[in-house]
Amino acid sequence: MTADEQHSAQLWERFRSGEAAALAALFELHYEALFNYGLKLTGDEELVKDSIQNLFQKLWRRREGVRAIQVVKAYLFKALRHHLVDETKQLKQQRYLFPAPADSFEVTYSHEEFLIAEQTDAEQQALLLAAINQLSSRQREALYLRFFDGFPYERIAEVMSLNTQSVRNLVFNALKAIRKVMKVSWALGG
Amino acid sequence: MNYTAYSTEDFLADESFQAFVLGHDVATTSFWQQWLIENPGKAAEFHEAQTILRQLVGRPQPVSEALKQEELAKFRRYLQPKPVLRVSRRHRWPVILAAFSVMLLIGIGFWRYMAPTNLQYNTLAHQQRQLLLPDGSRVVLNGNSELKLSGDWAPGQAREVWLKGEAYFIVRHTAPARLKTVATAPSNVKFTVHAGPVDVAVLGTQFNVRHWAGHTNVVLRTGQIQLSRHQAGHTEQVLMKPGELVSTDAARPQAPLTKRAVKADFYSAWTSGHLDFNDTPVADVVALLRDGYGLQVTVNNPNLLQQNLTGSVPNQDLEVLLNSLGKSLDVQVRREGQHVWLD
Repeated sequence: MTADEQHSAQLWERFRSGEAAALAALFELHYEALFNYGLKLTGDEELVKDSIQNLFQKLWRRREGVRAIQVVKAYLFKALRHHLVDETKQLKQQRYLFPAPADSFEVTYSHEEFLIAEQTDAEQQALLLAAINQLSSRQREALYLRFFDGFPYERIAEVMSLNTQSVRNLVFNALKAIRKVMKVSWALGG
Repeated sequence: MNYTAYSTEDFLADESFQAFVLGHDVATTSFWQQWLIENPGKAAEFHEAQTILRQLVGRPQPVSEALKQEELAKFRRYLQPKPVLRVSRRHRWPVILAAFSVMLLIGIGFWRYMAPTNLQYNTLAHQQRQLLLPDGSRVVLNGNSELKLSGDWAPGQAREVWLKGEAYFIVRHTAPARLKTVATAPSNVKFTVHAGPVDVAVLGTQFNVRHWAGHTNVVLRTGQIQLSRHQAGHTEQVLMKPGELVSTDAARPQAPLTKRAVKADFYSAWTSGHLDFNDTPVADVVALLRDGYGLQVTVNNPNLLQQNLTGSVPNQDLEVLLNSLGKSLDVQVRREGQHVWLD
């Protein structure tokens, strides 16, 4: 367990014993990661803000029945994902759009988000984005959780309500597909 | 697990290898660095997988501090109990008094909550920590280092941190866009790192500061730095441009502040765990060992300095770095304390 996870776990225990400040501290600590994840899933800033508020308000209302958990961040991600699934289903029904596909989000990437973006040329960035966009939305989501938030497979499984082997396959197949595209680009480039 | 039969895809799928590329923990990083040294036959597969995975590592986009504080305040309002009182005229005064006392207590609590608290972050040897500062700036703290700041950074106030050891700073620009020159900017939009006798003032940039054993060096990657040194009652100032290094040594206080052009990427390479060389002159690498690691370097074969290096070597540990440099250059590397010989 990392130092941050330990810190969160301690705050969680204090929250369970009824301390409001501990829950507010968890809100502050995880806000950026939750906001970004929510935005990645839905692209809707207002919806994400509301969902995070609702999520934490609900935790506070139900504090007496809340269980002990191992990794707070993964738990919050999973809970936010549930909220967003419910919200987007409702929204889609209200707007008489297509029947909502069960729990799938359009996850999109832009090149500024990648750490080494500054060191790669535009052509390579475009290739990488194209490769990523060919992946299924679940693969894209799993990659985000793995390489942006650093969750291990086991926690990604928890967040996305899949089993660990499915996550392993999702990520592996995604990496294979990306490798194929990058290989072509190296072959062409030199 | 039998790693020696590993293909590129096996590396890609390996969770521990991914964690190594993500730089998550020191044990995994040193395991794979050591592994590569012991299995040079797998270097091609290793590096291909590393290159692919490195491209996928991303950073969540910074959320504006204002948005976060607004949302946090909203949530705090929700957490505060809302007393609903219906009071008959007869009991009004005691209730008003009680309500007043409650408000006073909440006020005191809030004041204590808002009162400045000092923050301090430390790392152990070989440990790195990523920090997010209250203004949204990011810091990667290298091993054996310490960063202090006061916990009450309000928007529109001067930002100051105190560093011992080494850190890489990615500072958020909070000044109005028209303010571009740090030398003429008011102090309330500046971000200042205090490291020994040196103050590094910036608006929004990326730079590396190392302050160890009386030796301070600052390398600027992007933007602009106003560097000041205070000693013996007077202050010297220089303005740094990207790719410049300024170093000072407590043992030679009389030496004036001078700027030198360096490969800035080398000096922040410790944050990624590897140094990338791309047709890099060996002379530059030797300069890095001198300036970046404070080593005295003797090169016995002058032809060596004419050679160029291409490739990626692990650098989280000086021993590992020297070892792989020796292998890449096919020379003997000897080290005694702070003195290194390349034969």
